[in-house]
Amino acid sequence: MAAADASRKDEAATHPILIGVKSLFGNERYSDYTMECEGRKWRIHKAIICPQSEVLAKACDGDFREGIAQCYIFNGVVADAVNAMLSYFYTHDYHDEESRVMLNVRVCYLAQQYLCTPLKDLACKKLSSCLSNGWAGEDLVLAIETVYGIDPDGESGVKTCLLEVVREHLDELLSDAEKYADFHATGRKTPSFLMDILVGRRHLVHSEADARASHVARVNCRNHEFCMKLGPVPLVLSSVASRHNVLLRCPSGSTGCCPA
Amino acid sequence: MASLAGRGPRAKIRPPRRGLANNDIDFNDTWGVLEKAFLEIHTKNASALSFEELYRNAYKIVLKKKGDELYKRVADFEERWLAENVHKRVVNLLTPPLMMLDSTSGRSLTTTAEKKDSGEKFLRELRGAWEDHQVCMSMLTDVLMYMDRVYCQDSRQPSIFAKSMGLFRDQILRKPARTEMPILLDILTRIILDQIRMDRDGETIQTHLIKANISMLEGLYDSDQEVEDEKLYLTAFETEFLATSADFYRTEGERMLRESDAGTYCTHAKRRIDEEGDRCRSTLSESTAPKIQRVVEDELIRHKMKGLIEMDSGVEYMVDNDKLQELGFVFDLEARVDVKKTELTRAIQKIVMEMGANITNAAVAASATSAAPGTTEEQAEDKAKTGAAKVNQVTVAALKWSEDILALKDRFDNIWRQAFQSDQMLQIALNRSMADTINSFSRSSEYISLFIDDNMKKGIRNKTDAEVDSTLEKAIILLRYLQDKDLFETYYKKHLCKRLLLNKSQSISVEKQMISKMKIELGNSFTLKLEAMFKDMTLSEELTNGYKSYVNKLGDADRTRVDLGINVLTSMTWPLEAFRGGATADEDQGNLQIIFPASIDRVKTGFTRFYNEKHSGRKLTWQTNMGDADIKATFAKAGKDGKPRTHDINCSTYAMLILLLFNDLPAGASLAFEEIQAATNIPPSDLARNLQSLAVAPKTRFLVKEPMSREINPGDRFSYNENFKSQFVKIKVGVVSAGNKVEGDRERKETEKKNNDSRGYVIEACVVRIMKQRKVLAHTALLNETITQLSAQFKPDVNMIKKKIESLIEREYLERVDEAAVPSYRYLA
Repeated sequence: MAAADASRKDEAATHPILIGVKSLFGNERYSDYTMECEGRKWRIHKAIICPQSEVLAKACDGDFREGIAQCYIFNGVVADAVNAMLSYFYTHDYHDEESRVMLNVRVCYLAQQYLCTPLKDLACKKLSSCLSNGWAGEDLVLAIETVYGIDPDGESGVKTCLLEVVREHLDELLSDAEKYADFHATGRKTPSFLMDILVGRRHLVHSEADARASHVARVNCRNHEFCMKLGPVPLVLSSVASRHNVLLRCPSGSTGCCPA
Repeated sequence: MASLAGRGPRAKIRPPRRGLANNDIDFNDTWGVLEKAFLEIHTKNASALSFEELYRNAYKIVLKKKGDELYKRVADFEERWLAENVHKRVVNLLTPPLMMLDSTSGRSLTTTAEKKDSGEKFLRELRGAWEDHQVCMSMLTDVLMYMDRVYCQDSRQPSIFAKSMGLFRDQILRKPARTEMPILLDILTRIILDQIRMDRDGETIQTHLIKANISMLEGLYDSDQEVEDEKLYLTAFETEFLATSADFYRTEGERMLRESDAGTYCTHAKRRIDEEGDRCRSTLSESTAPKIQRVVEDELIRHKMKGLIEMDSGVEYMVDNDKLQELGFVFDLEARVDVKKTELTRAIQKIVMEMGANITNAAVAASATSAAPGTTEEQAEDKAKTGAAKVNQVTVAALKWSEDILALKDRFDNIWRQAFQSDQMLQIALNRSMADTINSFSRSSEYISLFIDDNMKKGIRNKTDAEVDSTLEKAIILLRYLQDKDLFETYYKKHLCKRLLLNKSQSISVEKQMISKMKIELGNSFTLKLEAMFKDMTLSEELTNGYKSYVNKLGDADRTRVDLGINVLTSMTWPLEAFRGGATADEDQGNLQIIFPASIDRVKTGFTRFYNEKHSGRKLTWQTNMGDADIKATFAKAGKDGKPRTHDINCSTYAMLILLLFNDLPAGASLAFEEIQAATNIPPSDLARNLQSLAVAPKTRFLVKEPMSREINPGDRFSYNENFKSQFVKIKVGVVSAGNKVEGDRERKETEKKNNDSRGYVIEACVVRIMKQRKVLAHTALLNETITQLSAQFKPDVNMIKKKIESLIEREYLERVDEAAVPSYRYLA
């Protein structure tokens, strides 16, 4: 399967049209429009950008300044994120080797603002992959502050990514106030963030209860054969348990039993 | 991990913005920016505005969960703008008359031109307002795209564009023009309808202005739900348009029926329908075209067709005056609304039937004037007096009838081809009317046979093969419509018989052609007996020649021997009664043995002997009443200077017998009527007629009658006319009953009776045939089957079938089935 996927990807990547489009990124040839951010300029090709972004298409074609001057200036975003988005339009990918977490967070929000869902999904994927490689950097705290600064109350893919990492390592983060002082400081001044953590825990408890109610009859303990006959069993389904890192306990008392 | 504890980087990369508590202030500021920009957009001043700035601000508001507030503000802004600016501008152009919904009161105040002008101004302004609104709203929609996609979709609000279209409807179209005035939508509808009316009256109007306003109505919906069937165009305009159009065309149609002629009406109606279709395409909506055309069709055609057809200049007039093009128009019109063309069909059928009835009545009237004086005797006398060439008036009427019927058919066939596009429905109707016309006339079978007779005798003379063929084809056409084919067969046989025996036919090959045509049309059994007649004729010719050589072989070449030409006829095949005059019908001729003089009798017995040698066991019955004779007669003073002169006389066998009597008579002697009869045994009526030819008709007065009068009476005496003179060598004595002519009433009754009798046999045979096959059959089934089987020959009378079934039961061919649920019969073997 994986091999087949890879070969299909290779084939797609070597398609002459795609190669042609990729070669145009950052290339002034045939370009017909300018984009600008933080003083940095890109000569772009409307034929490539506009079909992929309705918002930018309206700006380029409309009767506003952008349409008349044939120049679009981004404000309130960083140039690297804009570069990543434009790169995505030409190559359906962007490089995130430097300042990985923050770049992905910013691309994610830029994609959201410009209603470009595929790019948003890609950014989220990249974000969670780099967080799973090393979560305990200062980037996590920065990302939390940035995200809750832009959109304190909304839900977004970025928030879900960050909250998952935090919840996973919550015990460790809380246990060492010295080591994770930045995290503690940020938590203290970002109530929305704390609320999200709490709500997340509550969801977890709920889902455990749901699991008990609906799956109790099918759960059994490998070492205690009769436990199912003793009425409702506070067993947590393995799938739920492993996802939320909860220890499974058999009602007969001993720890370390595994569900069948 | 350790780097996370460092404090330096934290201070360095702090996010730039905080502002968690100032949402309200942020919102008002941001909205202020947007509102200002929107105003610029509405005043067509957008070129300096930054799309990015507006988009970003709107995005920020929605991101901060203020989407509902933004949506409301935009809607409020639009509502205010429309109410305060746009509505005022549009209404300013309304002159008071335009605001009146009742257009009639406005008309008195303004001229059409003024009204048209001010109407156009209003339409132009409204179109402008609508177009501006659309352009501005699409710009607003562009910068508010994030709100549309995120807020509107999440909270199930209509897009801001749709919302603002609804606002335009509510704030502009549904607002009264002024207080106490109708709403703009109604005024708009009225103005458009007025303009259309002007267009219909021939004024030039600005179609694009109307089209633009119609597009607006098509783009708006009755409610915010935007139900496809509830476009304002449909709910507010189209219904009204169709209703006023119906009124307009109803009035126009009525006026046209009163004031113009049918042809003009048709062209006008067609033009109107096309016009309305074009108008929908150019001015209104394509989707209305079928609806309005249906309205026009209803008002100008469907509801008026009857009136149109019955106009003074209607279908009857068109047929009478051969207005084929206009008939075509009428056909086209009705074909639009009715596949069956009901009204036109009915009218055409009526005309055909009327014309057919006229033809028939004329034939009846013509025959009545001549037939009225009385018996055939008198006619014969007239004929004898005026000469054989005079054709019976009734026969002329019969021929005229056939030709008129054919002309009628030709005429309507032509109309059908040229005007009715060879339409199948109308063809069926025409055929039915023709058949009805022909079959409603009781003498049609006889007349058609006479028509053929006349053509065989005279009509085809000097004609090319193609012309002959078309003449025959015409006869077949008539025949095709005829129901009583058996009656026709009777007449045809009778007429054919005379043609063959009296050598009246122009061409035997044409006769045979006719027979083969009938064979194709009516089937083998129909022509069987007719063909047998031809066979007899051929055989007889051979017999005559055979007899001649037989006599020559006998050796006694007697110069005085009488030559004999003979036709031997199979008695069942030939309708020999044809030669009997009407008056002799009930005389029993069979027992009378004609007395022949010795010279003739010798030939007769000679042939009988010859024939019996060839065919044994056959009885020859001599039909002397049918024969004719060529005599050489010498008259003492007929030549120049009173010298004797010999004439060749052609006369009937009877006349020959009579004349031969006078050969032996001494000069000056005379014979009484009774004496002649006793000497010859010729039936009295035949004798009287022959004597009339010989003693009364001036050109062939070989005998002198005493007393001299036109009538032949018992006791009259006859003597040889010594003073006979004629400038011709050949003299033909008129044979009174030679020509085929219309039957007298008595003859006719007899023919009908015979025909009915033979029908009786045919029915019986048919019933037996059916029952033999089916064994048991219900009464109704038997009736139906019989009628179906016989319909090719004639239309059987149901009562007659019932009687025949009764008679078959009596004779124990059939019996009733007692236990059957429905009345049934069983075949008895």
